[in-house]
Amino acid sequence: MTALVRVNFVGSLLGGYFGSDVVFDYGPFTSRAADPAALVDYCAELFMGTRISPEMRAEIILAVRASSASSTKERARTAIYLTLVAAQTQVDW
Amino acid sequence: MRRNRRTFLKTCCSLGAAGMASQLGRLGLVSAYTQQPAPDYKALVCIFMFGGNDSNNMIVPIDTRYAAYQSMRGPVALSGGALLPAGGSGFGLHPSLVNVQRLFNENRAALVFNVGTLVRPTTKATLNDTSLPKNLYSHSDQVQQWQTSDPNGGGTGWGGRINDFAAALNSGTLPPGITVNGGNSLFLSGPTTKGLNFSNADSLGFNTFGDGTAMAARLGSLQKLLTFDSGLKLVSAANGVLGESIKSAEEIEGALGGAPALPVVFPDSGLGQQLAQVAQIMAVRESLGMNRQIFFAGMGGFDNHENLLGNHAELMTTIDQAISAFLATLESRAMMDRVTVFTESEFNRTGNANANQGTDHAWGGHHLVLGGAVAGGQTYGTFPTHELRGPDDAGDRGNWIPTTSLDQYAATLGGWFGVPDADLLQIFPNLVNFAPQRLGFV
Repeated sequence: MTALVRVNFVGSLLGGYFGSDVVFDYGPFTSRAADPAALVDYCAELFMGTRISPEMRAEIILAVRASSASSTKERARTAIYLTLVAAQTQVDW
Repeated sequence: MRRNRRTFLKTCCSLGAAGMASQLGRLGLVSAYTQQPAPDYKALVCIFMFGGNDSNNMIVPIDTRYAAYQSMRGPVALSGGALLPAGGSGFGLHPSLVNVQRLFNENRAALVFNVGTLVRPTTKATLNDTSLPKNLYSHSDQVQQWQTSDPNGGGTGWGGRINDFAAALNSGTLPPGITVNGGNSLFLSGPTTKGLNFSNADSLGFNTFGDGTAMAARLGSLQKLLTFDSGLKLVSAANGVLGESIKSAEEIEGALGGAPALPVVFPDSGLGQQLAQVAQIMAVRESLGMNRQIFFAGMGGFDNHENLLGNHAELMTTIDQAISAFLATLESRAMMDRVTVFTESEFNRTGNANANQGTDHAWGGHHLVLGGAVAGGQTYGTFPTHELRGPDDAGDRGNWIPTTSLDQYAATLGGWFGVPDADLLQIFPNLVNFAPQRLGFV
């Protein structure tokens, strides 16, 4: 179950489990939260060098869109989480 | 606030049973809890002592041979009066092994002498004319060989190869091999079955964050991402591993929720906690549909090139206390006859000391086998002559040429586990070179 450790590292990062030792700057992500496609493309550029597959991109956009638009942080975390835990990112990274 | 997988499931429950079922279905978390009971459950538990255990001080002759031991060991010799007699065997155990001594005297522990990696029987006379295991005295090579029982290295573990046989005896979907010491052990990686790394309890659940409904949606999306075919084998393989991990984690965690409390307090050591985990997984074996399981536990710290006496006493105490708690748990749960615990280590250490009151890398070493099925209270194999440059020394510092091969040691355990003799010869290709092929200690 080592694979879950990697997923949970991302969960810990976004959940603030590391306390004040690690501070995540959501600014560049929340500023794009109103436009799910732009947010996902930004994540893909940042974490995958834009090599995201169309299926993966579409699924994450759907997930972001399902998050309440009133919570930009929730949308940002959804996009970041799904981009980082995806096997495609793991392999490309 | 940290929320684990259980919390997540409770969140699902709050959405209603249908919602939860839907969520679990999406995650592919169909459990095997209703499998049939395991009528003849058997388990092997390997305790690997990483670094090279100085077994010259774990098992010491206390008869007329003690003087030779004392002379050979010099500053790292244990006091004869402190050694714990193992019945009337003529051997004493390290002073810290008080519980192992008790178990030996209860016929629940056996001592196996001078086991090591070999290609074929080897003596001092044939040492230069016989194929020898690759890179003797090397930690990494010998760890690999002890886990694979392949003197050339090998890519699959002997535990995994046994599990390829044993998997058919299980009705559950989990692999029969579980590692609890961190990482993925080669030992449990067979040609077909792979070991499950259960070392980090936190990895059983998802570290969740934010709104519960949003998190459930995220996990649902994650599950969809796992199904996408990118056309890349590596991505597909990673998807498969993560998907299986999620299923296995859910299955084990669900079963462990019904595990009884441990009947004894386990020591707060790494090994103690590993064996506590093993005991709990064994307790839910029927829920998991497990009839055969092999566990890999381990601890480091044995590479004592200096201060052997002090360091080794602590290590032996850790081993003794962890084993004691584990076997007490097995006894309490009437599982003593179903579980056999055995030790491994990449090599023994030199008979004489170095300038730092430590000892260095050597070859054949002694091992412990424990459990209710063990023909205990006895010793097995041939104890080496404690003489530098003597008949059992491969060099000039007490590097014992093994008189029992790892293949014989492992095949004895595999035979008890239920592997037919013909299959043992397949699992251990060099076993055919040795006689007897099974040693009878279990």
